[in-house]
Amino acid sequence: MIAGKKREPAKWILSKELKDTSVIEETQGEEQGKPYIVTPLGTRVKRVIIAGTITSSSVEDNLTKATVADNSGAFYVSAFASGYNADAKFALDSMDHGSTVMLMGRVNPFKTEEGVFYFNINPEIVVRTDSPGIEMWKSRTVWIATRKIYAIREAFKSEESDSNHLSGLGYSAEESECALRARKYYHDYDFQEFAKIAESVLKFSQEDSRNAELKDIILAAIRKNDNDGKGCRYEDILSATLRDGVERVQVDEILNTLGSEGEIYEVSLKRFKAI
Amino acid sequence: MKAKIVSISSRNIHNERGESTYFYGYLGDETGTIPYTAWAFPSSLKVGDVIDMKNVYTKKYNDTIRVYLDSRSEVILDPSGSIEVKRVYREYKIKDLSLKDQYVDVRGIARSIRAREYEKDGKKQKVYQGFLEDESGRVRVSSFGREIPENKPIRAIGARVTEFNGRISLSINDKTEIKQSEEIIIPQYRMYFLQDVHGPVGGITITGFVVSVGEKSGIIYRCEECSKTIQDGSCPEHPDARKIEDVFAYFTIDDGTGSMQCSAGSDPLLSFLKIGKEAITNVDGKGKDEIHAAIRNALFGTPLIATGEFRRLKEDLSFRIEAMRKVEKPDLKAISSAMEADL
Ligand SMILES: [Zn+2]
Repeated sequence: MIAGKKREPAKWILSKELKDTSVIEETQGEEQGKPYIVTPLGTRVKRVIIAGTITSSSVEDNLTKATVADNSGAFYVSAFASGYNADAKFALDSMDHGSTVMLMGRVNPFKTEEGVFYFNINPEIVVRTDSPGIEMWKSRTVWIATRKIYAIREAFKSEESDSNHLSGLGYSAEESECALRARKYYHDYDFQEFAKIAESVLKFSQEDSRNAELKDIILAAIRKNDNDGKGCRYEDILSATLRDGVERVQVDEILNTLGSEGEIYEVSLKRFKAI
Repeated sequence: MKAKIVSISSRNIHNERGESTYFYGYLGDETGTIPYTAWAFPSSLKVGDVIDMKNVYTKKYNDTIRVYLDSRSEVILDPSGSIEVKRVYREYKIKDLSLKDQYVDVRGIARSIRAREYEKDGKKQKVYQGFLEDESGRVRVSSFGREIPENKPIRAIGARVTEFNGRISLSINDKTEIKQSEEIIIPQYRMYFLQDVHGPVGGITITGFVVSVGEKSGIIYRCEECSKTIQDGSCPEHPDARKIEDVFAYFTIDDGTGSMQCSAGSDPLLSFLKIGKEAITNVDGKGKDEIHAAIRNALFGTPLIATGEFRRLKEDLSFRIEAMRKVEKPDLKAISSAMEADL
């Protein structure tokens, strides 16, 4: 139902995978536009889908530059006001620091004379997303990277292992091809280090979601236990979180955050009210 | 070697050397069946023929031994030959059914079985139709003359796989053996990545971001008589019939392992938009624009969890959505555990 040729598939990759890339394919005669890059995990990329938090941005009439952080590093985004993707620039302009976004765009590779690589993303889609959107992207992206690393380990076991061998082990065509490209181009890359960072991205998000859960529990406890109108007592909050095995320092931390976010205030010493 | 042709399918391929056709299917003898691929095959051969083959070779592909016939192979028809083929059926999960293996051994629970009568050679016959589902997916099932036990686990040995209307279906005939099966646990979601879906089956849940929304998503009109969509004016077959408003959306979901063209009709769409049927009746031009904008705003860039049925239109799969919603916190656990199972 969508007219025209198939769009170039978008790859979900962590910023570290993009940042560590050092292979740009040569464009072939009739091929148009930007070349493919090959990342350390062997992903052949022209277009990406990323998600994260806007940590800096500079807005000018013709160009908006922004960085989007994903807990493994940051993506560099350049959005132009002219041309087909002007909407993406205006969407980006409307976002503040700390906004969380989902972004799809084309990778624009650049190599300096000193041989340093830079990768800019020219967005086609910029949409504000919430924590479940970010978490879905993170967990999926880490999963994709982890599967690739497993396939790469298999590929490195023997120079002879080919895509047939890898698909026999249960890897998809894409995973197998990525593993073979990684073996070809990134023999000395530290995959172990990458795996560690990818895992930490997940931990980060598990902590985030645990904290979000705790916030809900504590807020509910404050609302429920404000019986005399003088605010909920600290002890009641503790007992509400006790069965979840939450430590006191964590409760204090969340109370501080909720206070600074304007969700609650301390009515009197150790007495809390929700707003 | 001597064998009977159990099935023949062909496929066209394009490569640097141009277009070519190859044949594949099953050969069988008294001991069992084996898949084959033939780069050259006499076109006069048909299913049931007994053939004598020379200079063929075997190779393991996808964990099964296959017989290969190439230009050096000789195939001679044995017109008087007769072989009673011993059928051995491979076990399949419903999600993995495909025309590559046409007679299979599947387990599942039959649902919503309805009997329909039809006439064949002047005699009244009955066909039972419904769905069969297991932990991996759901397909349509039909059985000629024989009732299918409903709502309990069954095993159908020798059921036939067909593709009708772009959907994989199972057909049960008098040669199919139906047995009671061990318990089958149907999960809340059968959550899969697009890279793992190869056939047009149903009951599957996917998750991803909506990366494009079709321009024509919005209010459409159907003929009251035949329910076909009316492009402009009136239904060519029923010019006097009333036009009825309906709403639909088509869009692309990208899940990181692939992207899929999706469509949603009024039931999933109205409940996703949290609006009632009255919102789409008697709307003017401005109202139509508003509905289109509402659909686009709600979908574009949204992390979506959607359950539905895959269909094959021409070569490509598309996904017809039965239920969908924005991904929320509780869904993340289900999404994660589907991924952990695959690591
Ligand atoms: Zn009509």
